[in-house]
Amino acid sequence: MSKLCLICRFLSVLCLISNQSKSQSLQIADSLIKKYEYALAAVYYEKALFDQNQQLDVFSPDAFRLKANQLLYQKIKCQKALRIFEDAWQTAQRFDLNEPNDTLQFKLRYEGALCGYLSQRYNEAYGQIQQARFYINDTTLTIALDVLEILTLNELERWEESKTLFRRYAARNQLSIQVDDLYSFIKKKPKNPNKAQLMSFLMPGLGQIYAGYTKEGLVSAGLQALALGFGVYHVLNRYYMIGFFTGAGLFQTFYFGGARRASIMAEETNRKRKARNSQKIRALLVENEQKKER
Amino acid sequence: MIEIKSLFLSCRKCLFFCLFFSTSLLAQQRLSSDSLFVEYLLEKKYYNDVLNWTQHRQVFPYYRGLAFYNQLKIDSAIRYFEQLPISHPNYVKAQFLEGFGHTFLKNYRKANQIFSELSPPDSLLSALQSFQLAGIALLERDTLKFVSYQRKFNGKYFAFSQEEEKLVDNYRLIQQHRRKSPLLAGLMSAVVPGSGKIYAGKTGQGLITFIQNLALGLQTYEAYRRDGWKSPRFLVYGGLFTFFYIGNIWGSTLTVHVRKQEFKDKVNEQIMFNMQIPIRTVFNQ
Repeated sequence: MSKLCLICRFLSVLCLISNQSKSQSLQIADSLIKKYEYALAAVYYEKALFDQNQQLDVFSPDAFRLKANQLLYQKIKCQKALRIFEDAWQTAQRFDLNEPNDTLQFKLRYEGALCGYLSQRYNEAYGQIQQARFYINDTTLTIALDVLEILTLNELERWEESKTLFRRYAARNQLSIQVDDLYSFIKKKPKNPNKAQLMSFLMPGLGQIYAGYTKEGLVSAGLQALALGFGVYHVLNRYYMIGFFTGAGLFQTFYFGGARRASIMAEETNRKRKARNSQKIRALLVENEQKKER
Repeated sequence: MIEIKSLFLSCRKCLFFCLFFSTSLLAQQRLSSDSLFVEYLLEKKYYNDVLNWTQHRQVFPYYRGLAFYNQLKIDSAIRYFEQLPISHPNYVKAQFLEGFGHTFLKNYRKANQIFSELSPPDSLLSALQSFQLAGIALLERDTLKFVSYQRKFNGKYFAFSQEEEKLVDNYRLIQQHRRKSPLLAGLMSAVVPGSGKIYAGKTGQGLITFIQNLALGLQTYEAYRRDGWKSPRFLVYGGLFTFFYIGNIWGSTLTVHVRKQEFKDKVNEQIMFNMQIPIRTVFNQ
């Protein structure tokens, strides 16, 4: 009799397992996150989504949307932990944003914008931020977008807008920072690569000096002077072939090469400046946000 | 009492029966749900997810193979396709993909063996098999074998009728290609620097080489005429000229080989492309 009971119990457990298997994926995914197995956890969240799609009749549309968004949110969390930001961005595109609850909608839109920023899709991230501001009327929520917007604007080199926003952010957070000083680099014009090239054509080495590479400029000018001197010396001594081919040949190589290099250096200087300025502002923002969290 | 006991026993048998079938049914249901999920992942092109999901599930070699194949990790794809039993519903497809994988890896002998040993279930796949074998023959530059397979081309199948024509075009291109002699190129460059490169088909490089050698030659001559053969100026320019002159001869012979390889790579790429398209069309892969 006891055996019969045992078999019955086993069968009922099997039936229960069959019904519960759909929700198992989610539980496994959550436990995997705790074990830092993000890659597998991300797939289990996808499996939970897949299972949910198979049971359309079980959920109400609202419950379905809420659950699907929650699963996608968790999947993005895993992808961010794995630093596969492009995949995270693609996942964020799958959010159902027809969410009447402002807080939830903001959470999803913020995640979308953040994934855009992290995957270096700055224009798209900026678009997402603007959409969030447009669709969510609750300014107590959208205020949290300021940091992300400043960072995105910096990457887009829209410094003036970034400065305005930073000023607002600093006032709200009572930061004792001179915003004008922080953004003083705006007054400095970016180096013009074409101008650098033209300057090197007019006076060898000048383009490099303009781009901020004085030593390289002097070396370039020196090499061109040497080549020209070699050529002139040989022509004066009636070694016309050597003077022309070696002297003039080397000179033209250094001359055109130097001008091209000056243009590249101007671009390099701009890139470095942008990175330095962005980093300075980013460090300030991160420090302040960390203080707020504490 | 005996009746109750027999009833109890028959109940027990019944339950054992249910237990046996329900367990296997559940396992089957689970497997089918998992297969559907993997197919969904493949359709969405989440290949990394497929690999993560099937990592500890040895029952999905086909899907792992497909994921690797789509990620162009052909070695791994082949390893999983090889594990499929003949009874697998996608065995033929996997064999085609494995065969093409070997072709992609330039393992033509193995690819040839796989396609030759394949027994396609219908006329379309049989024609595709001949097409693939023809492609491999062309990659191996075995023109006789290609012609024998080409006879089976009938242009009947929309999936690869165009590719059949293109493969024949590739064959003609190979036949018409004029082979150039590295020795002749070297000799030509010894007489007129750069001419060997022009002969090999690199006109621009040939002209530059000619100007380079001419300039160095003139400078060497000038140094010799003004200072004599013992002067450092002559020795420097003479050395440079010799270096560039020998380099020009060696470079010309090399250019013929490079051009030959370039042509071979270009045609092989076209052949491979023509071989891949029908597989993608027929198997939706």
